[in-house]
Amino acid sequence: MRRTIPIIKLRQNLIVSIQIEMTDRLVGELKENIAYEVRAQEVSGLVIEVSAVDFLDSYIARSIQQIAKIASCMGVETILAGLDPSVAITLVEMGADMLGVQTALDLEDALDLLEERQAASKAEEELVLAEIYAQLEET
Amino acid sequence: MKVSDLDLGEMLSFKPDEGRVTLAGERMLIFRQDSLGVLRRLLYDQLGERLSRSILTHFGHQCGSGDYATLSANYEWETDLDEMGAGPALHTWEGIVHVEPLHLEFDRKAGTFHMKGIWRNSYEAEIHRELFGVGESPVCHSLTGYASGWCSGFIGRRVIAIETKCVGKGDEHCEFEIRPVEDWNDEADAWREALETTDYSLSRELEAKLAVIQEQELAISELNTPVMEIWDDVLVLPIVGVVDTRRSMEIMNNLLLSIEQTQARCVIIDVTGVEVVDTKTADYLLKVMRAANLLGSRCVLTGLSSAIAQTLVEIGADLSEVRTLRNIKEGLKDCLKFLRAQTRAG
Repeated sequence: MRRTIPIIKLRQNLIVSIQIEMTDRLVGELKENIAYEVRAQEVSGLVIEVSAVDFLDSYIARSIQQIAKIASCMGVETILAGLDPSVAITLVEMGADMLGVQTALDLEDALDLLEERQAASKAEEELVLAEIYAQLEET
Repeated sequence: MKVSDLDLGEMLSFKPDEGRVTLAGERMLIFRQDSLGVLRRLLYDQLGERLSRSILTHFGHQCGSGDYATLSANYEWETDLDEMGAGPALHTWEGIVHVEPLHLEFDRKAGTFHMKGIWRNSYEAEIHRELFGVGESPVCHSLTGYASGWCSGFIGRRVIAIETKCVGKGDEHCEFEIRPVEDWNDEADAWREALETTDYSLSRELEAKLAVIQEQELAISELNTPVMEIWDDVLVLPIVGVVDTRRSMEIMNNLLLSIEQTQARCVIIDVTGVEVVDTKTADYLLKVMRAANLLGSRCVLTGLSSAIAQTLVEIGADLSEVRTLRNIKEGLKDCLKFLRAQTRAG
């Protein structure tokens, strides 16, 4: 059976939870699928949840960075959540930094972070709109 | 006169003082076979198989119908069979091919005609094989043209000769069969089509294509890149199609001019309509945005498709200095927020 990694939409965000062993093929496929979904769905955040992953090689680490960049090109912010301590140590020792990718303790944390930002952005948006309406009424 | 009396050596008159060779007053020409080979190669190279075939068939047809007209008008033939047989005999004498009739029956009054025969030493198959090697279909187009021309003249209705075997496709000798056009099924279609005078002309078609291309070029050049002011201080530049050097210069000039005129503080560059992006295109876009930044405008890039986003990341295009957003809507929201923050700060 071909195994794929599901991409779940939850409110304003896409959630990808990696719970199977990552092969190069799977990573490439995931990259493409995420790129497609990010474009197709009306979302503003992407969480990649890796708590079940106990090994990340440099290729996969780089791919995750690329996914974050691709999403960012389309205006979607990426958060890497639930990095296992041992994986974190390996990554640091390998020198494969996760620069440019924001991280969070776990999925909850990541969603909180994203929703907080979205709320702030929304509030600002409403302020802008209110001002615009006020201006329109004046003229 | 009988067929057996036919002797082209006597019938031809060589007139070196005039620079002519004539057959019953009609000027005849003698060429080298290899020069016709060059002509054939050029025809095939430049016009393609279909057109070359048609041209060669027409050429052969005129040879055949012309020979028939000359011989029937200038010589008295004892029987119809002699008159008819003079064609293959002359073809043989002219050194084109050696004709061996296998079967011939016709009725001039009823207009029926059927002939079969063998061609040996076809000059056409010889040069064709030399030029192009053994092919899949018969190649003696001027020969079938000749046979069609002669027999059509003789029987007084359209007759089509086809080739059933050909040295050009690897057979030992060539074989032909001739019937009135109505008596053929679709096996003679290729030969009939080659003889049909069509309006098709390669040069006319090229001219028409060229006209289309010029029209399109005009349309493309008119596809300029408008810069629109959609809000106070916000410009939108939608880019559609391919961004090359020339286009990117136009875009840059347009945009910078508009920024100067409107003094806009924000610019949204929307690339929803851009299908392909490579490093060069990315580079051009970055340059446009940097230039706008220098004038004091803030640029956001919107509408990158998933494919383009992937390409950009894979080729390592550095978009870190650029603010990229989902679509033009998000872009406008972002600009409005920025403007508000600026007003507040100011």
